[in-house]
Amino acid sequence: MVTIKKEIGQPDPLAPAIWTPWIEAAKTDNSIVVVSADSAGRNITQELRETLFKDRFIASGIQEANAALISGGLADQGLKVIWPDMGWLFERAYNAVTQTITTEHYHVMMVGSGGGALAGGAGPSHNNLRDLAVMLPVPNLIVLAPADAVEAGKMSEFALKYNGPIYLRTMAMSPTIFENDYQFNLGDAPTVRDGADVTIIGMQEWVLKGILAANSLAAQGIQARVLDCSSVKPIGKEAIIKAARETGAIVTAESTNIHGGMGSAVAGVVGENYPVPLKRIALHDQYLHSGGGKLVEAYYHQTVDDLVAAVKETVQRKK
Amino acid sequence: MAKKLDDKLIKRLEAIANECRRINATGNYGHGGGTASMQDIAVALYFYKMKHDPKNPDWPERDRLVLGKSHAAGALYAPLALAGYFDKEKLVPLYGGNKILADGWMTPFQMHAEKWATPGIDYTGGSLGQGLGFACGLAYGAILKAPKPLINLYGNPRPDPGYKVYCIIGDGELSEGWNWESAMFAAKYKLSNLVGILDYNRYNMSEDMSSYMEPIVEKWKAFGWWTTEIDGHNMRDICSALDLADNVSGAPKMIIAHTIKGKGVPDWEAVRNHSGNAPKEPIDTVIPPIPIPPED
Repeated sequence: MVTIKKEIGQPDPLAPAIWTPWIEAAKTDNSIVVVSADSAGRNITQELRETLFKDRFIASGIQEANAALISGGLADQGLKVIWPDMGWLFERAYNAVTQTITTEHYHVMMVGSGGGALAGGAGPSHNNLRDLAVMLPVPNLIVLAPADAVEAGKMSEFALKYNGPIYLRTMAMSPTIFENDYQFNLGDAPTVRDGADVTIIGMQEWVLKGILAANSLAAQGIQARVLDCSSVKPIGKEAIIKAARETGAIVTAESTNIHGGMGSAVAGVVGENYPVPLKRIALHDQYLHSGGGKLVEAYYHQTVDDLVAAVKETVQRKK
Repeated sequence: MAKKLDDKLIKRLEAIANECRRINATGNYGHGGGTASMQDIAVALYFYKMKHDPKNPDWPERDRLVLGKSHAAGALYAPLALAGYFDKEKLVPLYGGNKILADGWMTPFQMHAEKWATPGIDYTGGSLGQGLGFACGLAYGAILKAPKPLINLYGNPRPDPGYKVYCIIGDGELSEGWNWESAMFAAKYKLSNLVGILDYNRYNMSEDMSSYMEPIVEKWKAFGWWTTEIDGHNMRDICSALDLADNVSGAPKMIIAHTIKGKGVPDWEAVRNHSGNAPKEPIDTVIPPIPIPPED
């Protein structure tokens, strides 16, 4: 069990937590470079460019494929590359990622923003609903999805040291749930709340929603365990199998398309190892309208109440 | 140390290229046409221009060769074998199917050139249009890592990275838009340690592309590259252009090499497509051997 904050506050941005380890390291490590396809300016300010990164801030312009290609070339030269972009834009560079970054296991950290599909909501073109489906099948690639700023920061520290390619699916804002002593372990799905009747496996904002749903379910006599599936690949297989065995029912929840997301990965683990009733909360093969907030959340059935209902239905399917 | 470009050396390079064609023609390999069209260029790079060491393939200070059209891998494997990166006999598994050799090698030759598999290969390719962007990253990285103090890449003078990046791209893959992203990037950062060579054999798998490739020189010039045109099968032309490129600063360079698909293998040259079935006649009849004169 990891400790979570007793009081959950207002949403915090994740980006500073992700960038700080790389910026700090760049002060003494000349091998750290930023590749920006017109995409890093918000986090690497003009001042940082001029005083710290200089030629190590490499601005390709709006060209995602070439950004991937030069990232591979830079990493081949022993440089450590951080390349942020909107999550869905990696689709545009996908074949460059799978050939030129991952086959040779280059040290490139790709940060895909816009996860948490219901936040932001700039319309169908900008829905970040497919990134897991395309990134999870890429050999050599680690896929991470932090639930809050603390976890994002720990993952970023990990990525700095890990000499290989990582895709980190991030989101703009989320209330902080972890204490600062949180330790990120690759391939683990940490338990954030214990329970014996059912397990909610959440990703990103659904970890907090999972906790809120579990609180509501407890009042109705159902004790739900909540796991944080932030290490999407490698996935927290042991914790998932243990949860299936000990709680006998699983509900996954994520803000991506239901095809090829975290829930599919969990279903694979459960189905192969310890089949139990399972339900997946996700978007059902649809493009999302512009907008955001509670109204859109309700429209697409992505609320805590929807999760509560799904859990109750799944518990009833237990033999 | 620079080699003297005299008749003796030209003869040697031509003989090596001939031997490479003999190796690839007997291989029954899938992309014979494009392999033969770039063969002379690859030989000029490995045996005349590039700084490299067959005994130390990962030498950090070596010149790099990125092959965008990685399906023409045989055009690199054959000269690498002759240069001593591996035994010529080891090329057999590429054409003969998977085998584990006595010393434990299992098909180190991928159908498309891949860095992890084969000593001397600097880029893992296969999907087209990506080599030039990777080469841009190498060239930029080389400048960043240069031992001299960093100078803003927008200005001159700039640090000398000590080694160069060569990139052979095919005209077929030039239809891929990514090349032009990379072309803009290289010009923006004035990557003068990057030398591209276009294997302009005019044919992709289905058509003569020259009607829409042209005006090819003007395209590269408009993108801010220094360019020159050569006969890609004239060894002296190739070597001279590579030397000339060394003297150009402040811009990336593109050598447009006019080539012939299937060059040097009569059956292939006649059809000019990508195929490369082994000739039915004995190889010594189709491509007579030329003894390779020793290096001075």
